[in-house]
Amino acid sequence: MKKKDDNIASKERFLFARTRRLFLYALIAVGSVVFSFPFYWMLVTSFKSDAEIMVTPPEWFPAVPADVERSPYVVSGAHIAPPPGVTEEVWDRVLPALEQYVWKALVRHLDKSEQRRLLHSALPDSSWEMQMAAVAGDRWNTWKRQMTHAVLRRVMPAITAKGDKPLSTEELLALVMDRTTPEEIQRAFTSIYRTFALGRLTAQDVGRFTFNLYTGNPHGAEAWRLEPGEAARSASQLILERESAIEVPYLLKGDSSVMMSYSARLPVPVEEINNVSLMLHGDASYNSVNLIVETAGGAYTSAEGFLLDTYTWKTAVWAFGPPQQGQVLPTVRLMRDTNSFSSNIGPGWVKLSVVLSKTSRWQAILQKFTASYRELIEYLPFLTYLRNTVILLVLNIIAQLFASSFVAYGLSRIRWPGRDLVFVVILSTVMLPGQVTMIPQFLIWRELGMYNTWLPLWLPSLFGSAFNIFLLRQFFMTLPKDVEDAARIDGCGYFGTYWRIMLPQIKPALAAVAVFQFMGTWNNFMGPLIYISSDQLAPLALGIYTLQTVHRTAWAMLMAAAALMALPTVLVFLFAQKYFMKGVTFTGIKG
Amino acid sequence: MESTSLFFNPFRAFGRLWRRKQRRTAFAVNRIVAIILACLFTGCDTSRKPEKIELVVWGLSQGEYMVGTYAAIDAFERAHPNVDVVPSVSGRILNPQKLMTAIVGGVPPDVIFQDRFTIGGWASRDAFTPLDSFIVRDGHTLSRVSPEDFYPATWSEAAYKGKVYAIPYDVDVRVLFYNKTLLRQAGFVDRHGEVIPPRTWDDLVHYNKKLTVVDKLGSYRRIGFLPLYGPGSFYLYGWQNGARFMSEDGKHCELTDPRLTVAMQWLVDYHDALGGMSRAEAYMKSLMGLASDPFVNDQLAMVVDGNWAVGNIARYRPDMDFGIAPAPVPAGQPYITWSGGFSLAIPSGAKHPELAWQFIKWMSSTEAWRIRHQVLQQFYRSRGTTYVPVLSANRKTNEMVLQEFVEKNPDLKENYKEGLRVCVALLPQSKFRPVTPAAETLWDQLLRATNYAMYHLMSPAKALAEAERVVEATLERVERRVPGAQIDWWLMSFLLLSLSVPVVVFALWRKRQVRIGKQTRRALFAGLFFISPWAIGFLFLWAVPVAASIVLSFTTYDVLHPARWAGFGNYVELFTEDPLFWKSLWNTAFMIIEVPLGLTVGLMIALLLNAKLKGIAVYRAIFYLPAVVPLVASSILWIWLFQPSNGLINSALRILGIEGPAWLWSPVWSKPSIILMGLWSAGSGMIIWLAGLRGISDDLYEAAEIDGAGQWAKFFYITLPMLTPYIFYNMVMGLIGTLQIFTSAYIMTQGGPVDSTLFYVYHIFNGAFRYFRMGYASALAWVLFVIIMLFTLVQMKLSKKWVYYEEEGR
Repeated sequence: MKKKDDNIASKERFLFARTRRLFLYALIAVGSVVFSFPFYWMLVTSFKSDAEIMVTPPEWFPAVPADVERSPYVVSGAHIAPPPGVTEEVWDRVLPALEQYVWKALVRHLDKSEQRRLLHSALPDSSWEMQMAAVAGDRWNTWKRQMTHAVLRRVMPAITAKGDKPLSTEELLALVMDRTTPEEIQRAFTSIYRTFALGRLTAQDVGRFTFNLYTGNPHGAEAWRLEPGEAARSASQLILERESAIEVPYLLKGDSSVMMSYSARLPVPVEEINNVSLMLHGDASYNSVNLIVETAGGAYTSAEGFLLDTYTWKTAVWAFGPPQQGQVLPTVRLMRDTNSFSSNIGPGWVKLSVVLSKTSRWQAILQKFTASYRELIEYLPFLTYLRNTVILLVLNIIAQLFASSFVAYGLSRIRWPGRDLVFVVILSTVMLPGQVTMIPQFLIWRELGMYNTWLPLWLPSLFGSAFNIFLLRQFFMTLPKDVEDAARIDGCGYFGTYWRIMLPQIKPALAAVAVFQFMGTWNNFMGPLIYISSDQLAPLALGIYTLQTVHRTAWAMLMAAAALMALPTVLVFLFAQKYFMKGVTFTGIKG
Repeated sequence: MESTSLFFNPFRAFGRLWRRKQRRTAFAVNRIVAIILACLFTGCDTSRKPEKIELVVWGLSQGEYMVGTYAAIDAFERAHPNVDVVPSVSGRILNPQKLMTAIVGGVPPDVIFQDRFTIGGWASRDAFTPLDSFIVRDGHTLSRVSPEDFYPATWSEAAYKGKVYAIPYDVDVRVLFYNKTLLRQAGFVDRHGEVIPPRTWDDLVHYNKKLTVVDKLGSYRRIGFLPLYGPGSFYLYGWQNGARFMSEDGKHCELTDPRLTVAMQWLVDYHDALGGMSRAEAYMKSLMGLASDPFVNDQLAMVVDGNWAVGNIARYRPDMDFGIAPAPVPAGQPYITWSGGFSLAIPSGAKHPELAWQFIKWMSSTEAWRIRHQVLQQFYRSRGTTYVPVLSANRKTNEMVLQEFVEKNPDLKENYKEGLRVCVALLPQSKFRPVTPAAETLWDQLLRATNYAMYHLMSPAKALAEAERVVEATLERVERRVPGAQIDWWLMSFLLLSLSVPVVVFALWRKRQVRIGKQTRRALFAGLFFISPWAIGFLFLWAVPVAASIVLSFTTYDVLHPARWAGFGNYVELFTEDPLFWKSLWNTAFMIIEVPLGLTVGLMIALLLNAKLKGIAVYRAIFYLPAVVPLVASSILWIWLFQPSNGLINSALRILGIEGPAWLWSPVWSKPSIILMGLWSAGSGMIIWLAGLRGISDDLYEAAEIDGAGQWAKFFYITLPMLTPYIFYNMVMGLIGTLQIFTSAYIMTQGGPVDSTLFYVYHIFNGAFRYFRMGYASALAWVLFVIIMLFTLVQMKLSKKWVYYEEEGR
C-alpha cells in the first residue's frame, strides 16, 4: 500500500519535474529571443539598403538582390491594410472597386505617355496585349494587382476617418478617386518600376567651374549612342523624377555587356578637367558601370565599377586626380590606360563610353550585404578611429598591468610600517565620485598643454587604479611564501623577486586586469569627449558618436558601426570569460 | 586673451613644446607606436607633406552647393602658396561645446564661420579676438574693411561693447512670398487684374480664411498662411508691433512689454481659428524638406520666409507665378523685416591670427563673392536650373551681385528680379536680434514661450514673464554681478600644504617612539618604492584635484579669466536660482526605479540560468552579452529601436494593434525608454548572482524539503535570505551607477526633450564643459558626492535589518 503510494508520488514528481523542465526551457528560450533580438536587428539593419529600412511594417530579413538580366522590370508590392476608420468588412467589399477604378486611371495615364511602350518591355511576354484585348489570365492579374496596389499604397495613408464614425464605401471610393491624381500614379509607377537610365553629364575643371557636356542641347541625354553589336534594344528618352534622361533597356546573357558612347566638345583643355560626373538611375541590379574616357592624348578607365545598388538617381563622379577638398560625393579614380589607343579623337574633344556589365549573383549578394561596412571603411574615418583605439588599448593595458601589479606587490608581499594605512587610503579613494575630480583634472591637463593629446587618456594608467591594485593584492596574498623566501636567500632583491618570481605566478589575475582594462578603454566615452577635440585623434567611442551626429539617419551604416564596435568586446568576453568572471567574483564578493 | 595659471607651472612651457612637437613631428612613445600600428592598419603611408602653414577653418556647411565657397578658398590658397586651408564642418553641426572646449583647451581653429547673433555671447566671454586693431592698422589700404560698407544690422550684430568681434559674411531678409495663381483664384486682384498681397495682420486673417482648403474629411489640403512657419518667427511679430525685446542699453530684458503680449495673443488667436496649434503643427510636420517645400507645392498659399527660399522655387518649380512683398504688419505700423546670417571670427588663442585676418578679408571681399557666385551660377546652369544669388552683408558687394547676377542674368525671370529688389531695398532698415551675452538664452526662451502660449499651457503674458525671468537671471550672472577678489593660488596651495603639517609632525613623533630596525627600514623604503607610482597618481590626479575642487566650488572660474571668490554664491544659486538643478535631480531620482527593476530581472535571469540544463552555457552568454556591448554602440542601437515611425519596438507594437509612444522623443517616455534599455543589460549582475546561488549549500534545501517546504517556500525562506548580501552589493553599486548616468543620455537625447533626460551628471558636464562655469560645476559635483554618501550610509544602516551574513548566523 505504502509502496504504491510512493510509486504514484514518484511518478507525479517525475512528471512535475518534467513539466517544470519544459517550462524552464520555454522561459529561457523566450528570454533568449527577447534579449538577443536587438543584436539580430542590429545586424539585419546593417545588411539592408536605405530603401529597405524605410519600409513599414519592417522586413524581418534583409533582401537578397534579384538576379537581373533584363531591365526594365516591375517588382511586386505588398498587401494593403485598410486605412484607420475603415473596418475590414468594408475594406474587403471596397477593395475590388478601388482596384477597378485605379486601374482605369492607370491605363488612361500610361496610355498617354511614352511609358506604355516601356511598360510593355518590362512585363512578361504579351501581357499588355492580353489586357488590351480584355483577356484575363492569372499571370496578367498578378501584374495588374501589383500596379494598382502600388498606386493604392501611395494614396491610402493620406486617408483617415474624421472623428469616430467609420467611413462608408461611397465615402472611401470618393476619397480615393479624389486623390488618384496623375502625379500620384506617376510616383506609384516609378516606385515599382526599375530601370537603368543615363542623366545629366557634367564636368568640373580645376577652378571648380561646372560645365554641361551636352553642348548645344539642354537635355541631350539622347545623344548617347549604343555601340553596335551589343545585346541591348534601342534606347529611348523619358523623364524620370524631374531628370531628363535616356533609358537603357538591356538584356545581358553570360558575360556580355552594354556600351554607350558620347563624344563631347570640351569648353576647356582636357588637362584642366578635374572630374566628370554622370547622373545614373539604377535598377537595383547590382550590375556595375565603368567609364572609359578617350582623348587625343590618351585613354583613361575607371579604377572600379560604380554599382547600381539602388533604384533612384545617384551621381557617379570620376576624377582624374585625387578628390578635391569639399567633394562630398564618393569619387572613383580614372586610371591612364596604355592598352587602348585613340586614333580618331580630335583635339578639344573627348569620347566617353559607359560600360554596363553583369555582376555575378554571389558578387552582388556580397556587395549588397557589405555595403554599409564598406562605406564605413572606405569613405568614413572608421579605420582611423580603430587605430587610435588600438593604440590607446596597448598603452593602457601595458601601463596598467605594470603599475598595478607593482603597487599591489608593495602592498602585499613586503611588510612595512604604514602599509595598511596606505591600503585603506587606496580603497577610500574609490568612494569619491569621478565627477568631483573630473574638472580639476581637466584643468591640470590643460595647464600641462596636454589637451587634445592622448596623454590624459593613458598616462593615468601608469599610476595604477585602486580597483586593479585591490584585485592583484588579494591575489598576491594567496601565494605561498616559500618560493619568495628561497629567492631572497639566493640574493634576489625586492624588484627581482617581484619581476621574476611573483609576476609569473599571478598571470590569471593579470589576465583579468587586462580584460577589465580592455573593456574600460574600449568603452571610455567621457574621457575622449572631454580631452579630444580633433577628429584625427578620436578613438572609436567618440568617433562613432560623431558619425551618429553627422549621419543621423544612415541607419545601416550606424548599425554596421555599432556591430563592429561591439564585436571585439563580445569576442574578448567569450574567449577570456574565465578571467573576466574570476575578476568580477573576486572583487565583487570579497570586497 | 589673458589666460591665468591655476597651478604652478614649470610644465607649461614644456607642455607647449610638447604640443607643438606633437602637431609637427613624431613625438614620444605615442607617435612611434602610432606609426607602427598605422602601418599595420592602413599600409605604410606616413610620408609627410612639405611644411605648410595649416589654416584651420571651422563652421563650413557641407554639400555640393559649397562648390562656390571652395572655389574662393582655392583662390586664397593660390594667392598664399605656403598656406594650406583646412576646412571643417566642426562647430556647425556639433553643439557650441566643441568650439568652446577647443578655445579653452588652447587648440582653437584659426577662423570660424559663426551665426552672427551669438557673437555677443562669445565676445562677452572673451572667446573671440577683437578685430579693431586689424581694421585700424589696415588704415586706408585698398583691401581694408570699412564698416560703412556693411548694413547697420549686420555690422552692429557682430560688435559687442564697442568692439568688432567678427566680419559679417552673408545676410538674409524675411519677406512675404505669395502664390499669385492661388490669390488670383481667390479674387484678391485690383482693377487691372494685378494680384494684391496682404498688407496688414487683419488682411492676413481675411486672406487665410479664403485661401485655406479643407477636404471632405476635415483635414487640411492647403492653408493660406501659417505665421510660425519657418525659424524664429516670433521676433518678427514682436518688432512689427513696436516692441524691442531688450532695453536700449542691453542691460535689461523687456519681454513683459504689453506690445509683445498683444503680438503673441494675436498669434494664439490666429492658430485657434485654424483649429488649434496641434492641428497646425501636425500639418506643418507633414510638409517637410526642400523638394517638397510647401509653398512650392501649393500647400501654403503664403509664407514669410528668408530670401534663400527664392532659390528653392527656382530649383523645384521655376515657372511658379509668385510675388514677394514686405511681411504684413499691424495696421498703422511701418514695414519691418529682420536679418540674420553668418560672420567670420577669429577665436581667442588662434595660432595664425594674421593669416586668419587675411583669409577673412578675402572671403568677405567683393572679389571672392564674385568667384563664389560665378562658380555657383555655372554649377546650377550645368544642372539646367537657375541660380538665385544669396545676399552679402556688404552693401557694395550686393550692388555688384544685383548688377551681375540678377539684372544681367538672362535666365532669371522678371518676378525673381523684382523679388530680389524688394529684399535688397528692405536691408538698410532691417532689424537684428539684440546683441547681448544672453542672445542664445533669449532665442531659446522665446521659442519655449511661444510653444507654451500656442498650446495654451500658459497665457502669453505668463509665458513671456517666465522667459523674461530666465533671461534676466542670465544677464544678472554675466553682466551685473560684482566680481569677487581674485584668487591667489600660491597662497591657497601654501594654506592647503600647511594642513599636512600636523600629519608630518605626528609621523615624526611616532618615528621617535617606535624604534625601527635596519631590516624594517629597508622594507619601508622598498614598500615606498613600490607604491610610488600610485602615490604620484594619488597626489596629482586625486589629492590636488580634490583640494582644487573644494576651492573652485567657492569661486567663479571660466578658464579664460582669472578665478574669483564667490563665497557660497554657487551653492546658493544651485539651491535657489537654478531650475535645472532641481529638474536634473528629479530626473536622476526617477531613474532609481531602474535599480529594483534591474535587480528583479537580473535575479530572475540568474535563477533561470542556474538550472542544470543542456546548453545552459550558451543561454548564459546570450543573456550576458548585452552587458558587454559598449554603451556607445548600444545607445546608437537603441535610438534605432526606439524610432517612433519605423523603429523595431513601435513596428512590433503596431502589429499588435498598438500605436506606441514617441519614446526618446517624448518628454514623458524618454526616461522610461532609457530604463528599458538599461534592463536589456540587466544580465550584468549574473556572474555575481550565480556565485551567490552556488554558495547556498544543498543541506538547507534538503532540510527544508524534509520539513515539507514547497518551491516558493524554499525560494522565500532560503534562497532569498541567503542572497541578501549579494542583493545588497548589487543594490549599492546599481544606485551609485544610476546617480552617475550620463553617456546614454548624452548620445541618445542630448538631455532633451524639454530637459526630461538632463541627468545630474549631465548638468555637471554642461556646467563645466559647455558653459565653462568651473566653479559652479564643482559645487554641483560636491553636492553629488554628499548625496551619494548619504544614500550609501542610509543603505548601510538599513542593511543591518535585512542583510543576512552567514558568519553571524553561526
